[in-house]
Amino acid sequence: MAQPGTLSPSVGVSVRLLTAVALVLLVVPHLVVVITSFDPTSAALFPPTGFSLRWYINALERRAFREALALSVVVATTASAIAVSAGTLASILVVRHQFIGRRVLITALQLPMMLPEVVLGLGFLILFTTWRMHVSVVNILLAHAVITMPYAVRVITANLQTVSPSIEEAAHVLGAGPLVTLFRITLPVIKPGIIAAAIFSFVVSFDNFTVTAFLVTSRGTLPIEIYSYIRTEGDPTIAAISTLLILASLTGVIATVRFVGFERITGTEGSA
Amino acid sequence: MSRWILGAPAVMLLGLLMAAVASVLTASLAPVAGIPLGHYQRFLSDPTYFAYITRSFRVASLTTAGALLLGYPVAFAMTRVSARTQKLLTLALILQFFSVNVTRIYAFVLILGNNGALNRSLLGLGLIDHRIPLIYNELGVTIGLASSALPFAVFPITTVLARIPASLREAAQVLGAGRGRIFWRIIFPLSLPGVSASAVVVFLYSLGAFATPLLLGGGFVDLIAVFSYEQAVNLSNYGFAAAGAVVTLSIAFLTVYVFTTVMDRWTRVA
Amino acid sequence: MIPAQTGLAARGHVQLKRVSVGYGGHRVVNEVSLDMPSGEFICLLGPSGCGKTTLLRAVAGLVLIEEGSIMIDGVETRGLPAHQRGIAMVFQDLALFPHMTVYENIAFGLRLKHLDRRAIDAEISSILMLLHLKELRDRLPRQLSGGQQQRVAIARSLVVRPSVLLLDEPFAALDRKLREELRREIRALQRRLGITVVFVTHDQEEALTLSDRVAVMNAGRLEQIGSSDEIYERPVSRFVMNFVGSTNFLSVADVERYDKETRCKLTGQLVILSTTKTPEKHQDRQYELAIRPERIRILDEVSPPTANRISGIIRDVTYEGASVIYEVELADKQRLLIRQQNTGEQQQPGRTQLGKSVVLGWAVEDAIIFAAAK
Repeated sequence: MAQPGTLSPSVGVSVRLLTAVALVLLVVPHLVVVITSFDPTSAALFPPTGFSLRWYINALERRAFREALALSVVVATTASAIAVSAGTLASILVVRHQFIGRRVLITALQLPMMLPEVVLGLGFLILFTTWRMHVSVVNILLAHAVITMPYAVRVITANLQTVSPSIEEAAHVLGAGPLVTLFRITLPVIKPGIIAAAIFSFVVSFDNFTVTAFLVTSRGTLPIEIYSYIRTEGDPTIAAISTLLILASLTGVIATVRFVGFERITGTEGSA
Repeated sequence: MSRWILGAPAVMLLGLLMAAVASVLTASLAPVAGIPLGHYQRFLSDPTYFAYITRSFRVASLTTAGALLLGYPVAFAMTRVSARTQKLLTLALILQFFSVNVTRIYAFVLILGNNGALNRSLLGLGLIDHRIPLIYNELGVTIGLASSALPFAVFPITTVLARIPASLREAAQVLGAGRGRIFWRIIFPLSLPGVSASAVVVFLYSLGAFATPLLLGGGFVDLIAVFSYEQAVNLSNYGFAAAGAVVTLSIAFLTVYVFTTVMDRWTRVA
Repeated sequence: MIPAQTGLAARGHVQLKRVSVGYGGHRVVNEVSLDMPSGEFICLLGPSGCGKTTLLRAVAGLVLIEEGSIMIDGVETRGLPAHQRGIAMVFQDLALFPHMTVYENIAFGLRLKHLDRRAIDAEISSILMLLHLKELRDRLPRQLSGGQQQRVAIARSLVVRPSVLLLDEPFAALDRKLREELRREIRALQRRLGITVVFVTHDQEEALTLSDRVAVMNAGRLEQIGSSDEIYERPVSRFVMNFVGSTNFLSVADVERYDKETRCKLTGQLVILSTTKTPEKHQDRQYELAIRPERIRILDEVSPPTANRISGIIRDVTYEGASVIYEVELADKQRLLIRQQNTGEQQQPGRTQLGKSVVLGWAVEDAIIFAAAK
C-alpha cells in the first residue's frame, strides 16, 4: 500500500502528468520572459539570438516607468496601510464580540473580493465623477483600500482565531483598560498576521490593473504603464521589467511564507 | 472596546463600496431619451452587444473547465507528495498569485504569439508545418486565464482534501478497495464542495477578466469588462456600460446560484 | 477601592448572598450563598456545566450577576471592575502573554499600578524566588515546560498581592505527578501567605485532598458545603454521594423510619440503618440504599458479627494491586461492588472465587437511604 507522503506509481501516472503540465504552465512563462529579456533584437524572439542588457538600461532610464513605479509604491503602501488598519479593527470586532448582524458584517467584509473588478472599476468611476472627485491618485488610493481590505481581514482573522481570548481577560483582571489591552497584548500577539496582511494587501494593490484602468487619467501605476508600452512599442523592455518584477514577487512570496506559514495559505492547516 | 470604534473604519470603506455598486445600478437604470431602462433595451436587443455576454460566458466556462482539470490533480498531488515537492508546488502557485498580472500575460504573448516561443520551437523541430494561431483568439485567452486562475482553483480543493481523514482511505483499503475505487467512490465525492467552490471562484474571476482579453485577445476576444471600459472611459456612456455589466453579473450570479444549489443537492444525495 | 494588601488584618473574606447568574428560565448559577472566611482554601466541585466556573468568574468580575450580592471584605463588588476587587485569577489555559518574557508577564500587573522600577524589580525577584523561577526570568512561555508555565501564571497573580486567589481548573492538563506536586505547592503557598483561595475543579480527589472545605455544585445550585470528611461521610444528597467517591445504589422496599433507626427490606431481608443517615423525608416513593464499596465486608468464620447480613454470589473479581474489587450478585439479581484491601491475609483472590457464595455485612452507620433517581 502507498506510504503516506509518497505518490504511488499507478495513481501517480496521470496525476503526475497533469501536475507536470500545471507546473509547466506556471513556471515556464516566467522563465521565457526572463530569457527573452536578454535578446538584443526588438522582436523579442525566443530562443534568444544573443545576449544584451540594453532593455534593462532602457527600462531603468525611462522616466515614465520610474514615475509609474513611484506612484504604484505610494498607492500600494498607503492603501494597504488603510486596509490593514481598518481590517485589524474589524477582525477584532468580529472575532471577539457578539452582536446582531455579526454574520452580515463578516460576509460584507468579503464583498469587494467577490465582486468582479469591472463592476468595482465602473462603480468607482461613476461615483467619483458624481462626487466631483477629480484627483485620480486619491480615487485610485481609495479604491485600492477597499479592494485590499478583504485580504487583510482574512489573514488577520485567521491569526486572531488561534489566540485564546483568555489572555485579554487576564490582562483585564490585572487592571488593563481596553486601550492598553489592545496595544500591549492583542496587537503584539497578532503581529505576524498583521505583517502578512500588509504584504498581501501591498501586492494586491500593486498588481491591480482593471479597477485602476477605469480610474486613471494621465499618470498611471506601473501595470498600466507597462500595458501602454506593450501596446505601443512591444520590445523586450517589457521582459526586462517583468524580470525585475518577478524578482520582487519572489521576495514577497518568501517574506509572506515566512510570516504566515505554508499551511495557512494552502488551507491544509489542522490536518495530520 | 467600543464596538463602533472597532467597526467604523471598515464600515466606512464598505460604505464606499456600496455607493460604488449603487452608482452602477443607478446609472444603468437611467432612462435614455425618455425611454425607461433604455440602456438595457439597447444592450439586450442588439446582437453585437449581446455577443459580449455569450462570448464572456463561453470563455469563462472553458476557463473554469480547464482550470479545474489542471487544478484538481495538482491539489490532489499536493496532499500526496513529499513535503519538499509540496512546498515547490505551493511556491509556484503563490508566485503566480503574487506576480504582476500584466507581465504574466505578456509572457503568454511571447510564448503563444505567431512569432512566439512555442510556434518557433515547434516549427524548428519540424513538428508542425505552419503556425498554430494561439493568440488573438479565444483559445489563447482561455489558456492565459486558466493559468492565472490556477491558484484560485487549487487552494479551495486542497483545503477540502486535507480535511478528509486518512482513516477513511485506510478503512477502505482494509476492506479491500483498490486505489481507483477509493478515489472515485470516497475521496472525489467528499471533495466536491471544494470543487464547487473552486468552480465558482474561477468562473466569476474569468467573467470579469480585463487585462487578459485585452492583451491576448487583440481586439477579437472582447469580454464584458472590455466593453464596459470602452463605453465608460472612451465614450463616457456610463449608463450603457453599467447596463452591460449588470446584465452580465445578474446572469453570472444566477448561474452560480443554480450551480451551487444543484451541487448541494447532488452531494447530499451522493 | 480595596487597597492592596499591606497590614495583617484578616483579608479575603468573601461573602456570596443568593447569587444568581443568567435569566429566568435559564440560570447558570441559581441562588448560591457561600461564606468564605479569610484564609480559607475552598474548592468549588462539580461536573461540567454545573456553574462553578461561572460563579468563579462572577467573583472575579468577568461575569455580571443578575441577583444577589458578592462582597469582599465587607465591600459590595457590584460595579467594581476586576482589578479593584483585590482578587487575582489563574485561567484554565493559563493565559500567559506569549510575546512577553516571564519577567514581563509578571511585571504586567505591577506596571499598571504605576510602581517605580525598583519596587517592581524587588517584588518580581521575591516572587520568582518563592516559585523557583529565578533562572527562567528571561524565557518566553513557549520555552517553558507545563509545570513552569503554571508557576509563572501563579506568580503573575500573586505578585499583585491579592486577598483572594481564584483558580479555574489550572492543573487539568497536566500529568498526575506534576499535578500532585503543584497541588502541594499551592497549598503550602496559601498557608504561608494566608490568602483565601477559591479553586474550581471537577476532580473530586483533588477537591478532597486540597481544601479546607468543599462546595459541591450541581446544575447551578450549591448541593453541599463542608469539610472533606463531611462531604464524603455525610453527603446530604444522592448527587453528592454519587459524585464524590464510588457508591453502590440498591433498590429497597418497605422503608420505615423510627426514632433511632430506619428499617427497610433489601432482597426481602431486613436491613437496619441509623436514622441520622436518612436525610430524605419519608414519602411514598422509590428508595435506594447507598453504601460505599469499602464499607462492605465479606464475612467469614472469624469476622465479628455485624448488624446487617446479606448473602450473594461472587460474579467477578478485579485485582487492583493494593485492593481487590468483588462484584457480588444478590438474591434479587441486583449487583454491588465491594472493595477489599489487599492485606495478604485473605485467601488468594482470583478466578477461584468466582461463583462462590458469600455473606456480606456492614455496620448500621455505613449506609444511607436516598430517594431513587428519576
